[in-house]
Amino acid sequence: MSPHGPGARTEAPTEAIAGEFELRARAVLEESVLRVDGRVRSRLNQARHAAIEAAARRPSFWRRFSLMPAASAVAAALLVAFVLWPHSHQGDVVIEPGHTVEDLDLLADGDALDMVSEETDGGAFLEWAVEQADSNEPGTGA
Amino acid sequence: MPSASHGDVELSESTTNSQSRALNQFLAGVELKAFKIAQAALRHEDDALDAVQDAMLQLARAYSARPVEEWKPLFYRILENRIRDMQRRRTVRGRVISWLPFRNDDEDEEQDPIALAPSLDPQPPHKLEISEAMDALEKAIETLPRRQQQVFMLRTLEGLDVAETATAMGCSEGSVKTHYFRALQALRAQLGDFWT
Repeated sequence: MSPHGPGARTEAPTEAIAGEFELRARAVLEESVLRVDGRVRSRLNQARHAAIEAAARRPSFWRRFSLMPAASAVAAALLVAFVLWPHSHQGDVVIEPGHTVEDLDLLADGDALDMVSEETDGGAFLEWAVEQADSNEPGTGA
Repeated sequence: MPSASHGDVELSESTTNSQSRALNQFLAGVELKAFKIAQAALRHEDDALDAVQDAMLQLARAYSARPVEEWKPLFYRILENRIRDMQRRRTVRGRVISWLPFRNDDEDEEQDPIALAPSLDPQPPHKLEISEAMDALEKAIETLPRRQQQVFMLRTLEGLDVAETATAMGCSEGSVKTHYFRALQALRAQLGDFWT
């Protein structure tokens, strides 16, 4: 068995002892690896093949590189569209001098109709306000 | 004359094939040792298998384009992270289960009587001696602190050098040397005459 006495083991391990111990431990661990049963080997084999398939599905470096020009073109087109969009939109709302009053009337009418339609009493307040203005009697409703 | 794009596709396919072959060779070379390392840490066969499977998948998906010589430390780094995650989850699950009034003992459920039955084949003396040594070593390794266990398995079983072990463990080379020395001391103290 051991060439060393019990006292030698309590001392700091020499390189030779540590080396011998490591060699034996490695041999035993490698033997334990060889004794792994078939079920575990089979599952590891399946896992390995699944991993290789996953790696194969991953786009390669060259394929990714070949797609770069197309991706760059799409990005450039989107950038141009984004830059030009506010200008074209501004062109739609240019106010021509002759139609300013008409536009304002239309806008005002739209608001008024919305207000009337949203009122639950169908514009009763507006009728009351007109009557008040016609009678010209301030403070009667207060 | 083939077009440039056709040439690119051929190049890409040949690259993928050679990469797949290299990956297969690498994983076939490490899978059993990785399983033993995971089993020593997790002490559960199916959990160890899951950890190795996850590490294989992650290496293949995220790092297969890296140079082959980088795979081993990366693989063991991934495996180590996976083992740590599983240990943490197990700790949390254990705490939760300990609070439940109607809990089942998982270990009792998972005992396979066929697997537990002693083998009828007589073992030759040499094989028996190795089996005893293996049991003793595995039990001693299980008692080591996690970092010492990790460094011992990576260096002794997988044969990683100090730098590769440091990469796999995410620590300094000095730390690897310290943990390894302490692991050897602890194992020698436990195994005694049987080993030296």
